[in-house]
Amino acid sequence: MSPDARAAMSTLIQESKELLAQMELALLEMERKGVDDESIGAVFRAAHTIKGSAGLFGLEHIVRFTHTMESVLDEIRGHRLSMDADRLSLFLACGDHLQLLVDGLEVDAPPDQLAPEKRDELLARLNADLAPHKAVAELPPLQPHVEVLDDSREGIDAWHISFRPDPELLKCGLDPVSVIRYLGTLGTVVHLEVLDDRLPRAADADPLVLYLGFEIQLDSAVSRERILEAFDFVSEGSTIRIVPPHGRVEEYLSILAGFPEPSARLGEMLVACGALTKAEVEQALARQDARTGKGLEDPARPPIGGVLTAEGVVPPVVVEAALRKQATLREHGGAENRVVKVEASKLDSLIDLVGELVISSAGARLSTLREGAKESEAAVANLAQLVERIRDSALGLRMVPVGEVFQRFPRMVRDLSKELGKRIDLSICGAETELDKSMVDRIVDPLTHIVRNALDHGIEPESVRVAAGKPPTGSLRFNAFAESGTIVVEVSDDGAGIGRNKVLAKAIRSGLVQEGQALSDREILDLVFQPGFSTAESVSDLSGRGVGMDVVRRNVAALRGEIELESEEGRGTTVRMRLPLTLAIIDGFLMQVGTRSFVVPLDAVVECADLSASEIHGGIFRLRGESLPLVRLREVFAIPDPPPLKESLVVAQQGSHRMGLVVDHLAGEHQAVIKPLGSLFREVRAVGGTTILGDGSVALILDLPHLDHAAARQASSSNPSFHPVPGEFPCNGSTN
Amino acid sequence: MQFQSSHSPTDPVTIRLETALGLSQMPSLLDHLLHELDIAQGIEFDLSAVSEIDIAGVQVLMILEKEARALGKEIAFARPSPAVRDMFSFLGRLDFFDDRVLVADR
Repeated sequence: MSPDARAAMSTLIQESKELLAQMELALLEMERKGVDDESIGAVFRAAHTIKGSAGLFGLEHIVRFTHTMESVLDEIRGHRLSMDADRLSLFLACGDHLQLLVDGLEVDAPPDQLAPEKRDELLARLNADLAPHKAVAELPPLQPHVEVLDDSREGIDAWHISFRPDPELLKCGLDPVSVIRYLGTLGTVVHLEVLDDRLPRAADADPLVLYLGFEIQLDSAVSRERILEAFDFVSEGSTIRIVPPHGRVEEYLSILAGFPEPSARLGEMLVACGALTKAEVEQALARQDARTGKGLEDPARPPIGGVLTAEGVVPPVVVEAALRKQATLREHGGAENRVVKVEASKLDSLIDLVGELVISSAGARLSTLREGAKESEAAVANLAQLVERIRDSALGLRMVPVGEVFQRFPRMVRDLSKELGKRIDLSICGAETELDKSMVDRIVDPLTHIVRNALDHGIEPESVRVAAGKPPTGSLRFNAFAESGTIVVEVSDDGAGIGRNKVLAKAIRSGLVQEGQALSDREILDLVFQPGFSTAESVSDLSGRGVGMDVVRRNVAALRGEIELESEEGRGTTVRMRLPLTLAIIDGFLMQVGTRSFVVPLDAVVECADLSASEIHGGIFRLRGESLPLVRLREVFAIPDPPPLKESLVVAQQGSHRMGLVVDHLAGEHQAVIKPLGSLFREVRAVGGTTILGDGSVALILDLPHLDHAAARQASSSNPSFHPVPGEFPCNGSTN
Repeated sequence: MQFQSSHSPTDPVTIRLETALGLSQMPSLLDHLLHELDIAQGIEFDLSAVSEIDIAGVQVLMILEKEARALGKEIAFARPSPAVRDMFSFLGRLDFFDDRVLVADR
């Protein structure tokens, strides 16, 4: 496969995945809210588009499968069949199978090895639906484009090629006519139509710019690839669409949709070429209009109806290619044109470079400060500001809506609730909240686990709910929002909640705590995150397989995030993940203890103060009446240098808690490029990563959640034997 | 001289193009011809001496035709040379010359 073809294939895969996700969403929506024509249309279009793209690549196994799906969907669309619960499930299963086929493309798996039994079973079920309604559903083997939908027709016996050359073609010394003449050597050019609609008025015309377009009908036995090869030299900047012989009306229509010329005019062209009859064009245009009337959710089909009238009066005058592209964007308002797909690895290397840039810029700043050259100081300060902006926008490139993760859960919740025989309503809030792409990918597993837990252990069976006076349908809620430089992702259920006594009993049984030990509510809930802890009374298929919340916490901690539980017995549970905005760079606050440097996220710093000895009571510092647990970094990291006469206090916010970090000096803001800790230091607590300072020395980035736990425990050290968090840093005993 | 023109106050101007209608000639030719069109009531092009034509040439003729129509002036393309006839025939646009032949085939 050529690199171009591979790139096109990967676009196909990507698009198919998106379409499948849309299809699934529409199906689930119908299952929840009832069947409506719009959702059926969305499912139909998804199947249809996948079939179309697969056809272009000659992926017969996908074409055949989607074709049968499409045929049934068309019956449903025409109200000849109903979309009942069985069919919804059937199409969900078909979507899964298609997903499998599409995934197979990625690894070049041979099509007949992709769950053939499942395929046959699904096809049999689909065909059973079709049998009484339509005799012909099965595709004849080598004619994937014969249409059995309402547009069933043979089409013309030639390739149809729409060619809109790059306006700059002539300047490059290339001639579209010679391309078309060359096509003639591959077969016979049965018909050629020249489109002159884009010719501007003389005053605006540049005779060196090519304004003409071509509709070509080629009678030839060659492959699509051979035809495309003819356009090799002129393809850059040109638009070329090829419809194979016996093309379907819909495919010609996609030409109407794809070009900026007025649809009516293109319709005439197609009639002139003999590709379509006049009636077909009229009917098709009317149908497109009707479809776009309600179909804005489908970006693949620009609103031709509106464009038709808007452009039909005054054809857009084209001055140059760039202008034309902009105009197309404006007129079609197609969101798909505003998105550029970029490989994630390219973004990653950009972010890496920006990270280095940030470090160098800090270095430059430091050395100019040392030299005291006023002019270069100003220049460097300016530079640093720009670097900061570059950093922000570079990081912004990687931000994606957290909804990307959420959208895979409706299906999971549906399947699980069926399996468990519980009715569950899923609501999603804040799906548009943005999170770093790498983060989004990595919260899937923790979220999956949390959702399974909620459905399996949290939400009670219907009878229990009714007996407890709750609505029979359980509710599960996803919520995401930004809060002081972090992103919070919550999963809440209205289930039974976590029984404190149950947790405690279990913990005592497994030796995590001793009997008679008095634990606070928070400490009890914290036990759930202990390795090997599970309160499930029965080990089910879903959870309770020994992989518990401890893994979830570890996963979240690896993202420099934090997880907490909030639960009211009988009322429900909320699992809250607090995640940093990004994994790569943070705005930090730099502090020093002896010769060591430490960084905390700037957003977490509430205020700085002098540490006056009179306000220290044990491990607690009183700041204007508020009690803060103190964390002495000198002790935490066993730094031997003697403390200065006056130490400083940094008040840091962690979730709903505050703590006071005791340091020697405050060094101010610092852009920290986070270098993850190597595997050697994985067990080191209290440090989330390192960063390199301008002078080349290393600063440690503090892991505030961990310090917070330790500080809280230290401050309330009523139970010296209780250690909910293993792997302590050496600060025990400082208050005892 | 790239073309000859004959002016008379009542009749449309006749312009006989004696050149290859290729990309390189187009910028200056278009300017000349637009100027002619500007001052004349109408133009008849005699294409019998056009030795070659490429798509840029075709496009300029089309621009002229469109412009004349927009200005409400008469325009006609007549006596296509073999090269011109071949090109327009290939493009399926022989109608470009039909019904508008004001210059009699001499």
